[in-house]
Amino acid sequence: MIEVAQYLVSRRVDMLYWTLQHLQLVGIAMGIAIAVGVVLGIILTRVQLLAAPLLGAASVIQTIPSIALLGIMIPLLGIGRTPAIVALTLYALLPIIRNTYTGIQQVDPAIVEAGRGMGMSGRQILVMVELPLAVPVIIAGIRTSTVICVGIATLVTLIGAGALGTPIITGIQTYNDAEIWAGAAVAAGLALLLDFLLGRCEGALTPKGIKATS
Amino acid sequence: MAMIEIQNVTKVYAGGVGAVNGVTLDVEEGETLVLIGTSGSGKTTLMKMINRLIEPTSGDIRIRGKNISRMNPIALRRDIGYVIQKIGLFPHMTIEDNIAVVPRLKGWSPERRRQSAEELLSMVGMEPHQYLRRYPAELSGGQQQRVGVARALAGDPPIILMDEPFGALDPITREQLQEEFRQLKERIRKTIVFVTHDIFEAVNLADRIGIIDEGRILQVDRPERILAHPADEFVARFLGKHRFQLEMSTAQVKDVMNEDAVTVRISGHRQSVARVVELMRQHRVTSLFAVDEQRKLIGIVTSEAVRGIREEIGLEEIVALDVATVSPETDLLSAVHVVANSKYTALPVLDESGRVVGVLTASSLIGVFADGLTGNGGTPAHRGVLPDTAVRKESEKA
Ligand SMILES: Nc1ncnc2c1ncn2[C@@H]1O[C@H](COP(=O)(O)OP(=O)(O)OP(=O)(O)O)[C@@H](O)[C@H]1O
Ligand SMILES: [Mg+2]
Repeated sequence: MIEVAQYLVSRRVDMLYWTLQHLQLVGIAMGIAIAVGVVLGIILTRVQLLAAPLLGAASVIQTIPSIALLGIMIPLLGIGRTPAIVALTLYALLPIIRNTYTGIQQVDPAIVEAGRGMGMSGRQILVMVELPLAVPVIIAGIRTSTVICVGIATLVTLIGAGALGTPIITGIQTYNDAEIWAGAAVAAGLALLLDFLLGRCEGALTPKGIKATS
Repeated sequence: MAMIEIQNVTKVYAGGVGAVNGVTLDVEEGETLVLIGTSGSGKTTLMKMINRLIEPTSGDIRIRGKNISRMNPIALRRDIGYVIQKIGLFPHMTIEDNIAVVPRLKGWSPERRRQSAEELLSMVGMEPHQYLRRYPAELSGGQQQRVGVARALAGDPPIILMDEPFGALDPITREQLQEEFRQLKERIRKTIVFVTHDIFEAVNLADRIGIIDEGRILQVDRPERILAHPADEFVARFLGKHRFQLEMSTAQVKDVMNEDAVTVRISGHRQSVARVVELMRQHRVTSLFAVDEQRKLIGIVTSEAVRGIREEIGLEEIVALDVATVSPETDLLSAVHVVANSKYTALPVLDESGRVVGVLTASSLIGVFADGLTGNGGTPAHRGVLPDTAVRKESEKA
């Protein structure tokens, strides 16, 4: 414990740098994944034929071991930040697409029909009815993705993208437990913190009428 | 020109299910047409073709003479109020926002939307300031259904489609909402197509009833005419054992009452008992109604009360005030109960201002019962009414 604390204090500038690097990678990947994933999820609800193949493909990506996926990136995109962000984005996509899709699918068809019967256009139904009702499910998907991403981002140091994996990998190579623990603890703390913040977002974004009745 | 003209409309769903088969039907402006049929008979399908939630396989539907297949479906739907089978309030919107959906789609200003939401909510019997800011989950089923009705009225559409709006409610709440809706529709005078499988609801609310089975309209007519003359075996079976009760509930006191009630004026100068005895003898009645100058009821004078009384006594002293009354609009089923619990065999029929406009006697009701079950006499109004107490005979009319 003491060694870990000592390490954190003595290497605080490096730790801060890796943490920010970590946050930046996760942030960019999540930003792209949310934008792409929500749109794809919505498209799947409109073009049901695509749903099974696309969700299947996204699950396959998820099953590829992360180290292997990073390895596969090297011949395609080289090393550094770009392949790291691409890999993180791919992992983050599935929960977001799937939850957006199911979140919209599970909206009571009677409610959608009421909207249609009152003269809402397809876009108005999406914006005024389906998306607000799917918000809790979509954000749950985003939380899952974020936690996955923070974890996988500890590996991108292997392809030269830095972040909190750096002290962990060095620690493994130099048998320095304190260094491993320091990296792991900060990464875990980061995951918990982001999950907590997204939980607050979920509370703020969920329409009042559909919150669990107190 | 009818408001809605349905011409030879057929709907065959993918997979070959023929849900509606060649229906031709007109809905007149301002009337409530109730479609009734068993589950799966095609009621919802037929109704949804009117706002193009379902497109007919063949046939035409016109609204005010315009073929709806050439209208923009979205604009069309904004002018047709719609209450779906399962209420379908938006759970994430407040009651105000739920009601204001169509006004919002139509681009009304926020002030105007709010004002109309308030008006509509009071119209369906809910206190606006108590409920506007609430969410659907915070209302009872009956209240949600009221909001559903208010929402369908928003934007002032000339046509309203209602698909079993009260189907999911308990019998007591349902009856209450039906009654309120019956009064509401009299006030708003919309063209309403109302789907139900409850024959009592149909008879209670309909101007005309359309009976539908296997996608075909078997009979369309006024409730009392359908009850009196079912088009065929199926319709008769559909009305079933409730038919007589239904007939009694559609007929009103004014259909069977005698308009020539024998009355005697007592206010102002004193009327002698002798005059009463004379009137009773002349009209061969055993009781008559005491009224004031405006024919407003004061009470009843019976032959027992005047028997053996000397002439000097004023009428006021023998008038019985405890007489039960009915109005011309009271349905016969209720009237029977009033008569059964009344001390007197003749009941005065009073208009809203308390004036005597007729007399309802026990024996005239018995006459209806005697004829009613045979179903061969048209509405009860056309059946013979037996002469009785307080009833002037035909031959004696001035
Ligand atoms: N989308 C659909 N696809 C295929 N068949 C359908 C569809 N909707 C309804 N049907 C069929 O069409 C027929 C009429 O259905 P409809 O919903 O109009 O009946 P309904 O009279 O409204 O019944 P209920 O009283 O149960 O609501 C039924 O046989 C039903 O199974
Ligand atoms: Mg139906």
